[in-house]
Amino acid sequence: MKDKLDSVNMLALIIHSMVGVRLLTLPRDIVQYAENDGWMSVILATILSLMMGFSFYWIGTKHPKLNFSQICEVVLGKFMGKLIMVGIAAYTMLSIALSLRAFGDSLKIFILDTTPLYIIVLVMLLTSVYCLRGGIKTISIVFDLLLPFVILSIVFLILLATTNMESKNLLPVFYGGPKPVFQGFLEIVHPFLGVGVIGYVMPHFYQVKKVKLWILLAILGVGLTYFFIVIMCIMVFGSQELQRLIFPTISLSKTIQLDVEIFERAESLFMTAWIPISFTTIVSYYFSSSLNLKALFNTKRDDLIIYGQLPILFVMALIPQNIVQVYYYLSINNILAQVLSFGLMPLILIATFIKERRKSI
Amino acid sequence: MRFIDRMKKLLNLKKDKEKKKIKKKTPEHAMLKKVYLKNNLDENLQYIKDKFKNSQDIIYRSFSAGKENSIPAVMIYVDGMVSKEIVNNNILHPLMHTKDIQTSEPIALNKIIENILTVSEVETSNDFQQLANKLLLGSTVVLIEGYNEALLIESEDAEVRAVEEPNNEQTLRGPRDSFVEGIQSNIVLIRKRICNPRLAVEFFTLGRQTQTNIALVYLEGTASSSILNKIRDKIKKINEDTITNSANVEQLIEEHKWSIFPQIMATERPDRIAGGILEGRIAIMVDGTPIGLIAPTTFAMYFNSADDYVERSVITSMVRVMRYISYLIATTLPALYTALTAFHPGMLPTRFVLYITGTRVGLPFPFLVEILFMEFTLEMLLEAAVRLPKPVGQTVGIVGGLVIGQAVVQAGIVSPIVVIIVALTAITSFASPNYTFSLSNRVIRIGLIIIAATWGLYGIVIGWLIILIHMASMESFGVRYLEDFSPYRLEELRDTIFKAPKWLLKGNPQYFKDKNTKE
Repeated sequence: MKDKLDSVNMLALIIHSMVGVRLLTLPRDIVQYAENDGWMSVILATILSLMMGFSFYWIGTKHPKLNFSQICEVVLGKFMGKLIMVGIAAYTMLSIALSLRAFGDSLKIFILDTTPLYIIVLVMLLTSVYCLRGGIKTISIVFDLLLPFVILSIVFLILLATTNMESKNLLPVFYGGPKPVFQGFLEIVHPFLGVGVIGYVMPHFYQVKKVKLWILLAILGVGLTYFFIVIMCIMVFGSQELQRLIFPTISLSKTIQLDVEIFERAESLFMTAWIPISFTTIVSYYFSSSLNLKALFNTKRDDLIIYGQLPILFVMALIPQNIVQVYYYLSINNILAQVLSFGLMPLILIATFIKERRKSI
Repeated sequence: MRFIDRMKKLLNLKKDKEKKKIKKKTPEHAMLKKVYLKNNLDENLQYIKDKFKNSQDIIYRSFSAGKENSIPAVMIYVDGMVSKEIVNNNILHPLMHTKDIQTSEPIALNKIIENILTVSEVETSNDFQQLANKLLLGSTVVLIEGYNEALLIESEDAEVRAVEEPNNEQTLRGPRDSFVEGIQSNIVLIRKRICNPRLAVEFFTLGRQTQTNIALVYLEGTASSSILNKIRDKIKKINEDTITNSANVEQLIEEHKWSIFPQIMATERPDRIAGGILEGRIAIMVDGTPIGLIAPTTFAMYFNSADDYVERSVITSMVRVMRYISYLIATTLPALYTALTAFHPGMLPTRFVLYITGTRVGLPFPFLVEILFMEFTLEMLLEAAVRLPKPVGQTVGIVGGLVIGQAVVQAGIVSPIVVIIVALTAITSFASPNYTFSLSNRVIRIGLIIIAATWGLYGIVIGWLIILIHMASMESFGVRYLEDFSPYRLEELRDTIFKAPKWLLKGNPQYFKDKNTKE
């Protein structure tokens, strides 16, 4: 608690926890349902995460010294609070494990084809733990420094891919009505729930009020990123081809052809930027997960919680036998995310609201 | 029973350790402690002569004070450390010719200081310890019969080096003076630049054997009081026998002792120290070293050079960006080459890969051995060039250039690309303005080569993430090492990666403002 953050830090914290492992697969997941209207789903998801973000912010201002898990316990009582914390723990840990796994898989396919998967996962996990041991201030400094590189690499990817795009792939617009768009939107609730990190870092800020602006900017930035990635993928591949790609975003970088011979395969370069993107998401979820578990077990021992999760996450990441199973677990995780955003969040909002009303009366 | 015996043994061992500790705590020079002067001149003189019986450079000059009814007195000083002029004209002459001192009616020592001695700094003391210290620092001691106090008269005039041009940090348009060994003249060099009554100078004496003077120089009101207190505490906690160099102090007060990055900036330029003080930093000067320290130091400071502030700002900004790029090249290029050729040859243009393969036909060693061999040779060349006397040093350059540039390639040990890469790393690491900082490049470079040979590009990125986390977690005196870049502040950008023109450079770094004042 002694480390304090400036309000600007929120920008990098949110962007990094929202832009993560799903950046690679997200276009395909949406297009499965929404076809070439996928970009509308992204807009919907951005609106949802704006609502979520400001709900987290509003709840945080009501209890300035508590993180989200502790607030749950205070607002909903001990039993419900603990139950919810178990749910959050399942969600965060599953997210970390699957991020690790998907990261390891993509890395294995595109750059390190002979290195064993468990080595890739373990190295990543240990690096994240090292970062976590430095505390929130260290995490935010690392995030701040990585942000320009991450943004630059994504912007480059989008700009370079424009050479291959065909805008007719977007047509016909809104041909299936609102239902497929909404289904596509439900598929991507998980990455957009990354805003949840607000609930865990809020107690660390000096000036809580100034954070609002940065929350808004960060979520809009992330929304734009996903929007452009999805729309570029649709325009370059067309919605039919897109559904058959495992990692559409990497395939997008594969299509880039530079006229000048500097780099032969641009996707390896993008994979290099991809490592810090996954790293920051894992660290951010790990951080929230540790705080949540600390609240769950009523303990103040950081080391125990952080190192205790390490073997569990490692094993969880290696459980899926193949990519199909990874996607199966990802869909379970997405359902958890949906439950959390559409079930838990309104519940807590209403409970907090009622408590506030009572207080004021 | 055996258990009890063992316990007893353990307890005894502990006691032994305690005894040793106590013995260690009383060093030899402490024997002068708690001994005071007496009224008898002969006794006092004998005591001092006993203590300094092996120091033959100490001069004892007996004389009679007062013109009529004179009193016996002795003047003691270290030969060569005092100004003969002061001793003869301002001490000896007035004391011998005064009419105020008489056996019949003794006067107070205060009167002698006020009326007779024509020297500016005079103290009295009855403690042998203090007397000995002052004597060894260049004061003249006068003992007078009948007084249990001695006069300690400041008369230091030892041989000192004149202020010269800086050797290591040269500039084109900046001032040409550099620090010398004496702490007083160094502080004067700073004071001349900051004519401000708020410039505070705090003295500490450190090192039980060496009694070295240390000064904290800062601008009161500008320097953050919390940082100042942290540095003060650290300095007060120093419990060493010998302090001979500012590097000793640096190593004792820095917070991350095992880090490869320097956390306190050392410089020989007074203008640099003055600039740091004006920004709100705190300078630490150590007697006997021509190098001053600035704390707290942040990462970006190692990429600024003194010339940055006199050249055009657009050009300087460009040069600075190039420095950061060259830092990346100096640390990562060999590792990148290893990773690309060994793991991801597909990333390079086909013709280039073919060329590399062509040059490697017939070479016996793998990439890693070639790179490590060349890096080792380069490091040894640098090491040799620094240590050797100047005329021989040039020979090293020629031998290195010929051997590394041509012979190694012709002999078929190393491919020419590797030579180019190693040469590039050498050039780029010389472009770093700070030598101490550029030393850390070597460790990073070798570490990255090894990790790149294991995991390719993934290894390089992970290696850099670890370095980044390490740098981010470093905090000295309450200021983070990377505080220049995070949290994002537009004002900080004016003098870190870029350099804004002078009229935009107002105000000090944000992180020096006391954090408690916010909200």
